[in-house]
Amino acid sequence: MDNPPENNITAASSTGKQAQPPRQGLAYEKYTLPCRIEHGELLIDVEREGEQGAAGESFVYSRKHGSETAEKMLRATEGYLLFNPVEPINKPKEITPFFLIQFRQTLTVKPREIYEIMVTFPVDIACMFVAGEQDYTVLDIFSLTEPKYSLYGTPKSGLICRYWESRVYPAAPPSPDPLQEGVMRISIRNTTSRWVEVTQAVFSANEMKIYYNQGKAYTETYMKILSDTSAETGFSITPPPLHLNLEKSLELLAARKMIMSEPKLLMEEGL
Amino acid sequence: MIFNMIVYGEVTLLNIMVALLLFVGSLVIAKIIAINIRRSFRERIAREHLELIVKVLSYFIIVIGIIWALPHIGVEPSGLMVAGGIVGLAIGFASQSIVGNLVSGLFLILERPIKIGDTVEIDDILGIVEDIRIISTTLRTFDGLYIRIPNETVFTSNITNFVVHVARRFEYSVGIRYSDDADKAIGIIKKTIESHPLALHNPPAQVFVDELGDNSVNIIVRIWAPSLEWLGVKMELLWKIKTAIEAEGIEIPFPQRVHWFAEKPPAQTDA
Repeated sequence: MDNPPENNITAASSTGKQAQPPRQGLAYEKYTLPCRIEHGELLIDVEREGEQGAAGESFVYSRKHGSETAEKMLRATEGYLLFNPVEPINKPKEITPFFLIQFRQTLTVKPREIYEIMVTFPVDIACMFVAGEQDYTVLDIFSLTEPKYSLYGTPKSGLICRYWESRVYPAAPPSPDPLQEGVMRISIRNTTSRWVEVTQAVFSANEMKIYYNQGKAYTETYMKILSDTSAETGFSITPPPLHLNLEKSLELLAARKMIMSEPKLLMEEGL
Repeated sequence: MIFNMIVYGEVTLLNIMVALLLFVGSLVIAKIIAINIRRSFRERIAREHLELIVKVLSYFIIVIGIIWALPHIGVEPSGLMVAGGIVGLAIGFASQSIVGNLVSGLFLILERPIKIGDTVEIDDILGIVEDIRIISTTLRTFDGLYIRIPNETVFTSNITNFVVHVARRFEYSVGIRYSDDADKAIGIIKKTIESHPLALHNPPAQVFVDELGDNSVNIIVRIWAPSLEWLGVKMELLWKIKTAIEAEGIEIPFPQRVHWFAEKPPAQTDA
């Protein structure tokens, strides 16, 4: 990862703890340490503990968001914070790798037709401490949206999913807040010889690939309709076009799992 | 012919070859069955249990082969069986519970009504399955006790598996005063449920007036939650519902009784 740009540098104390002037607004970018970020109800504070260069020097990371708090001590001398949009399945705790997008309008797809639609999807935010090239750790994960879960299918054979509602857009949705929701392009292909109505899409976040810049979180997916009630969904493995100027975000689930998981999901409990 | 050559007693070379063939055949059949069982049940049965089943079946087939081969080499198994029958009867009586548990264990492993880690109730004992062995099953109760249950008891008891389905429902009864607005109370309760991330969006919660009770109007609240999280949701939500409806001026009444006097009670006078 690159060195942080100068304009992100907050004056670093070289002699122990010193309060930093708060920086208004959080963005998907790098923050040199120590730093203090305010974004609505969210307050992130990283302070240096101990003399700079002395033994025992460390940083204390703390976050307050409503009633939720997190605090970590970091034994490091150099590095910076980086915020990334990540898979929306971490809050309030990781209970499922699946998420469901409920369309506010029913989409009716012509036989043997390919449509491209845009919807929004929720994002969680990972706060990483980056010490160097490929040398980082995830300090904290939080969400600026209220998570909600739902059951796709029946209690016997269904899936617990993170739930999200979205309008269906023919083109990019009008400026969603990238800290709360990303833009998902879904390529829908109806392989049947009948008209099919689609009201929801379920994805497995195991192979989710999110791309981002300061103003956008983005992912590309597909849905292959197999029958009136079933479809296959997954994430595109090709990166988005270069002109979008997006960087690839950290894949939290893929990093945690040593074994390869199934990249596709079969929606068998209805569309 | 050489095959009719007497080797000993009335046993010819052909008899010995047939006996050998039966013995080797039983070994080959046992091996083929072992390979197929391993291949078919590799995903469904734990490795140690699968090996035990394979061994028991292999030895059984080999013993059948030996019993079949013995008459060809001049040994009558019926004689051995009479001798062994009495011993077998004694051993059988002594070990009938062990055999019962063993057979039940095999069926439990094949049928798999419970898995390690499931929260279950067996024979009125509630706990988490720690291990399923060939003779017994062990549970860890919620107060930390280790309980070993013979597999025969497990197999013949009613088993309630609380986590076999991905979602489950729980229920509260909330009483409000007759003078309170039940529709308003229902609205507040629904809103409180909606604000909890793990109270599932679908299946939707059911909130309705169930009974005009002696002391209160009783509202039934039915909520679905992920099976692994339902207890935490249940513990959190009841108090949230209570505080939310009280914050809106709706009270949960105490038991009360209206007394009617046949005659007007005497007026109280100050002493």
